[in-house]
Amino acid sequence: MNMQSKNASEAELRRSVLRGLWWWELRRNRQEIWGGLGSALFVAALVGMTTGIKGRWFLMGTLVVALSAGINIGSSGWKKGYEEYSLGLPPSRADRFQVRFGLGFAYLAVMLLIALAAGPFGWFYSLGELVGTAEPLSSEVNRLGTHFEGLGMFVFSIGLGLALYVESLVIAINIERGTQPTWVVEFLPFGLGAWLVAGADMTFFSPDAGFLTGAVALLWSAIRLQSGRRRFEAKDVVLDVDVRGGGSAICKTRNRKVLLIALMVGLVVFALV
Amino acid sequence: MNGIDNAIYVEGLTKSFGESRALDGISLQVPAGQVFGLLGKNGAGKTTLLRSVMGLLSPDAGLARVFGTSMTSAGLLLRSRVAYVPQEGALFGELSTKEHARLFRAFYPRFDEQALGRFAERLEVDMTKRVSGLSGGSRRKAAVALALASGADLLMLDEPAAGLDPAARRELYDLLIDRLGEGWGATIVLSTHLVGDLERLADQVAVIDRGRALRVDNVEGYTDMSAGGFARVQVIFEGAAPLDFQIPGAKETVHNGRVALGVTQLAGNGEALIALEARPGVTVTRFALTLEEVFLELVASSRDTEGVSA
Repeated sequence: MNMQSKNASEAELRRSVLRGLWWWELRRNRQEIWGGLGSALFVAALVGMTTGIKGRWFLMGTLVVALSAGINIGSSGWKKGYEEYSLGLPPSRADRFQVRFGLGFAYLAVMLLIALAAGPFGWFYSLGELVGTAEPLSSEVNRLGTHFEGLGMFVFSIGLGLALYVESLVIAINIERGTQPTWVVEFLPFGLGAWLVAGADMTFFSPDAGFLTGAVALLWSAIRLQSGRRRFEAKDVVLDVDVRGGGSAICKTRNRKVLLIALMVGLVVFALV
Repeated sequence: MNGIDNAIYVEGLTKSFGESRALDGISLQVPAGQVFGLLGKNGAGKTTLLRSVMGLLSPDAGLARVFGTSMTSAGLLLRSRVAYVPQEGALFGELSTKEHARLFRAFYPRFDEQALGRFAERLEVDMTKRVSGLSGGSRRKAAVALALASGADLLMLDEPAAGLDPAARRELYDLLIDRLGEGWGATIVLSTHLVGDLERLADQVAVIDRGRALRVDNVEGYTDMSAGGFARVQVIFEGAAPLDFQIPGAKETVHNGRVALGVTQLAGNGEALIALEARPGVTVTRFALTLEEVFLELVASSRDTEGVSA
């Protein structure tokens, strides 16, 4: 087999492997996926056909869906014992990470589409008008407090939703695989960081705030996705984590995180005062 | 030789878990197309060896190659030539065997679903039932059936018959033998502590103890006396044993005024026994040993030697 045909065979096999992994992940998560989509459609129809999903609710809904998608997709099937065999199978850890992330992302995208249809796009509302359930639109539609309005609010919601999804996916995987201490330590830097950026956004860009937070959130998502995947792949061949070695690495990471958290808390207190 | 003629090439592989050394510089080669048995007591290092070869563990030292390549850097094409059945957690509980087949078909280009159906029927595995609902024995059988149907060139089976009743074990190995008889040509590495499993199947057997390969040979090499295999030897002297005679490990007994020595013929004492046989008034009788007896003798002898040298 020459190099060209070998590469072609490898590429074909990779496509087949990814198809297989997609089928597997859909099969494994089908109850959660159908349950989530069904619930979202029900709520979207209910609210969208009457008042429309307004700014604050759109944001809250996006964040809740992003968090649940990240945790659900991230926290199943990585445990030692379960993954030992799947590592013996041809797909690499990188393939599985990619498919997992892709599935959660696709789920999130469909949920967002439903939310947009029930809110900003007004599709459900139009349906409500047809069947006579729609209430008169108020001027508060799509407003979030006084700082976020219109497009900025949606960039804010979608960016933060994506960042929250990536963050919770990576944390869920790491925690289940026993390489990270707790959700609190892992999540606090993200939460405080988001709070600070949003605060700065509101302070400097009100009433058109949202774009800065959205942009930073998208950038963070890309960085976190890469770092999470690298960390994940680095453990591909090491199932027997050396307790002492791994422990010291975790301790160093934890110390850095505690310092980071302390710094952020200081900044938050400073900003509040 | 570190070539592709070998399905597996392992050299100086060392792996420790804390203070415990699971592999102690083990070296061996598994020629392509053979059924290769790894025989050792529980904790001898068989599973660690398989997992290191598969790239699931990082060795502290040494190298492991599968078809000339390390599994840690192997691409999909090579990985799809290898099927591994670990001791535990071999299948995913939420999928049925049939669904596993659908999944594995995507991973192994030569996966044969019809063959799987035949294997499952023969092993009496319900393919439509979720794996979590199968008994432990049925899970093992389903895992082996899937591996056999994968079309892989190398099968790594870690204690495949563990937990099976004797009839099921026989059926499983009959299936393996029949599959090999179809001109399949795959390499099978079979790890077990049950000697009978290997006597029927293996072309070569590596006896492993404390992370080292004590000996690699075919079954006849262990048990055929005429081929220099192991034997239990009884040496009877007409009168007292000669003073200059020494065979380590020999047990002396006295029967009707005659001295009798019982000893196992090992590689190290074979020449001494032949020399002894030539002496007048000495009768040497050899009795064949089973593979199990040879295995136990080898391990005991290795530990004795280790104890003496320590």
